[in-house]
Amino acid sequence: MTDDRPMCERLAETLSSYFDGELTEAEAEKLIKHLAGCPACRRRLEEYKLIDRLAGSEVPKLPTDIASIIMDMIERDYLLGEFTSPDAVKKARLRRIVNLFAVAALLSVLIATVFVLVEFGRSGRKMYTEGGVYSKDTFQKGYLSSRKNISVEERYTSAEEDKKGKIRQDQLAVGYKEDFESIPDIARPYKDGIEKGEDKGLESVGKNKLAGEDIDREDKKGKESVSESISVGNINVGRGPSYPTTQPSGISEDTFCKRPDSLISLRIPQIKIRASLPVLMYVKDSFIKILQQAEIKEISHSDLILLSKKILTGRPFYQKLSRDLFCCEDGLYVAFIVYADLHTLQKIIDSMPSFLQSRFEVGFNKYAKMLDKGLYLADVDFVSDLLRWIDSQGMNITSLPTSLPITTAATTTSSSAAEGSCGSIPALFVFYMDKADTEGIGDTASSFKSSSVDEDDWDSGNGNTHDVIRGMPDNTKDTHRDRDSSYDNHDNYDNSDKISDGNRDRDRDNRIDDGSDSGFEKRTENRAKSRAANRIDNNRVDYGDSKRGGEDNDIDGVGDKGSIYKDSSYMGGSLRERQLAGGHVDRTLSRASGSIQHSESPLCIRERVALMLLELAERNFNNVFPLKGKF
Amino acid sequence: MAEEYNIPFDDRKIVDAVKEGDIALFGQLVLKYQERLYRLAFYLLGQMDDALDITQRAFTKALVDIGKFDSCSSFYTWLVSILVNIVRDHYRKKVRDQDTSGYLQQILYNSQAADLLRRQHPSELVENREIINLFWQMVDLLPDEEKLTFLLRHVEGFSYREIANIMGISVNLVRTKLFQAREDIRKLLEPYIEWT
Repeated sequence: MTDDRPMCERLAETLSSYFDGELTEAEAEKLIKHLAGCPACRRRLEEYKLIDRLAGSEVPKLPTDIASIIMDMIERDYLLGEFTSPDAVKKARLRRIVNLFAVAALLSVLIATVFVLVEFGRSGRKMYTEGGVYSKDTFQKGYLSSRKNISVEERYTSAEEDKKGKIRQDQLAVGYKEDFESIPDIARPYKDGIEKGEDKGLESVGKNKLAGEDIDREDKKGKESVSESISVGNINVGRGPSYPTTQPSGISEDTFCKRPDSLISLRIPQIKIRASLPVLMYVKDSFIKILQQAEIKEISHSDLILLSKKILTGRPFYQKLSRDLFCCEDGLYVAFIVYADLHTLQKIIDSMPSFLQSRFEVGFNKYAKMLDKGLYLADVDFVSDLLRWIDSQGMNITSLPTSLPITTAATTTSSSAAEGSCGSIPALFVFYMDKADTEGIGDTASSFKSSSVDEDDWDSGNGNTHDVIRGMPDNTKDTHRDRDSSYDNHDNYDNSDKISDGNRDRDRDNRIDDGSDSGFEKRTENRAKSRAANRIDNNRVDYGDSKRGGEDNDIDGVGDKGSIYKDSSYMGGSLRERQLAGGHVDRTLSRASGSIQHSESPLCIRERVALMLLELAERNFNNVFPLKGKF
Repeated sequence: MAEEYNIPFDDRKIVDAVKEGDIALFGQLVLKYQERLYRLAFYLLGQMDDALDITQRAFTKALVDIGKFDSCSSFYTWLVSILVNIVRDHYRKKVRDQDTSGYLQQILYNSQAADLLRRQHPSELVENREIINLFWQMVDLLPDEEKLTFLLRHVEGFSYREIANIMGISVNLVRTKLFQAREDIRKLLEPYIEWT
């Protein structure tokens, strides 16, 4: 027996495998022979069987059906960015392969460059200075010249010729560059708007009598300048602005800056749009469209987050009715959030004009219910999750989910709908109006030409819409406040755009102040003067919204983009009041149908859009929450 | 048990559809394997809340990495491997408290069930709930890797090769760890079994 113990110990592990049926036939036969003469190993085998029976004796029951819980959690993770598209793995593999080739190509280029540098000695330095590094000044000039299609030198020359613009010229020299640097890259179009505002101020006085011809001429110049920039090796991304890399002579190396590493490239054509998650889709889609229209090819993470929040939430989000208007090259984006129950929202959708309905997109998720026409419903928690996700992920819009399982649709809506309460279901309305839509409402271009507003201010032509929305100078806001004030009297409506020359000059000063951002106090002072002058000259009633003035000065880091929101609040003020005062809604609708052709600015179009939406909201939300007294 | 869940053809169809972007179908896989995976997680962790969390994370990870799934193997095996990795991370993060271990030992040896075990025949042991609870306490006292191996074999019924694939170790190591786990439990059980 004592001799058998080491044998049993040696066979113990084999016995365990034998119990599991993991032995070969030869091993099993050998062990069976041993088991026949060894009661200790047989007992051990019995104990193994006992352990197996104990292990299989009880199955813990699930505390609940965890499928829904798990799917909820999965969806949450999905939204919070822990999820990537299933087919992203395949793409990632392909991308890795492509990257390998890219690295190989880069190495080849690097080796070739080193060879050239070594070979040609000092000429290599020249190559370096002519490419790969650019200055901020060059960037601005090149970008703006390509965007505006006129050269910087021309603008400065015009500024010199502008007798009234000497002060602005000084501001340009000092404040303009500082202001430009303080504006994030996302605000390139708004920078452009600022630039255009300056253009108007610098060039338009006494020059643009035939604005259309000037624009044509500028377009030709712009093309020439772009082609020239290509010829000297500048980078052009698609139809976007050129980003010159040429170092001009006379600029010290201190002014040089390499291209920021934090920038991410948005390959817009590669982004696939799939309708599933409504808000995400909306954000992504809005991004794509806005970026496309604005010809923005690069955007920083922080700016992307900033913009996404503003697009998504409006300002502020937790209002009964908030909306923002976004303008692009060819039209308008309108987004607003309304809290209401599903029935009311459905009524709104049904009552929307057909051209608006066609602009909606449909999406839904478990927090929302899909309606027939592109209504986005999102729970507050969902939106907050989304915002957190955007914060954490830097809004990587190329990796948005494709679809999600639909579990329960709008489970929280039934009670609120039954109670007729509001606030539980924020509905995000978004639509886009292109030129055709706006022309359907009123002939934009012709209306500007015939507008009583000076062409210098409105820069008549097709590009005027985005001029106003992107970089809407303060004088236009003042102008429209004046127009807004004139809404109080229908008879004065057609003449409401008239501004005295004195006011225009003051407004122009204000506009340049905005563009150059020479100082908050000075800007505020000029605005105050301008408003006071407007009130006196036009004998109009001051709307007395002191808060509005504060918002005007609220340049929230996005350059003149802030004017969009400022103007939203502006419309949220007196226009709503006037609409609620009655009489104006009918006119708005008739204008929307194109029956009345007014001479109107692009802002008027935006106002009409807002008024139309307000009218719809007012008509359908009357029993849900009162708009009266809210604004 | 394995036949009840093992429908590889359907699983592969579902997985292919999910890979194509129909993520809603993944819910079917969740419904199919949730209880089984949750049970394993519960055995591994001993806490319902932790088990639920780990199960959810395993499914989420599976959804994220579904593109990596090789259709040649069983989906559930792949799912369990994900779960095991998550549990391993959980083990690593978990601070091992010696007092807790001693407390469990004290429970084990001082409990009324332990006294009952001394007098019972093996055929009666498997029907006594208190004894079964004690048995799982013993399992919980096992080292992590041994416990993983033991549970994958005894609860899930995986073969050595499957366990090796799931745990990322060799078959021989699986054999050794399983033997060690059984020996540990056997030694703990031995004083309480009345062999007649």
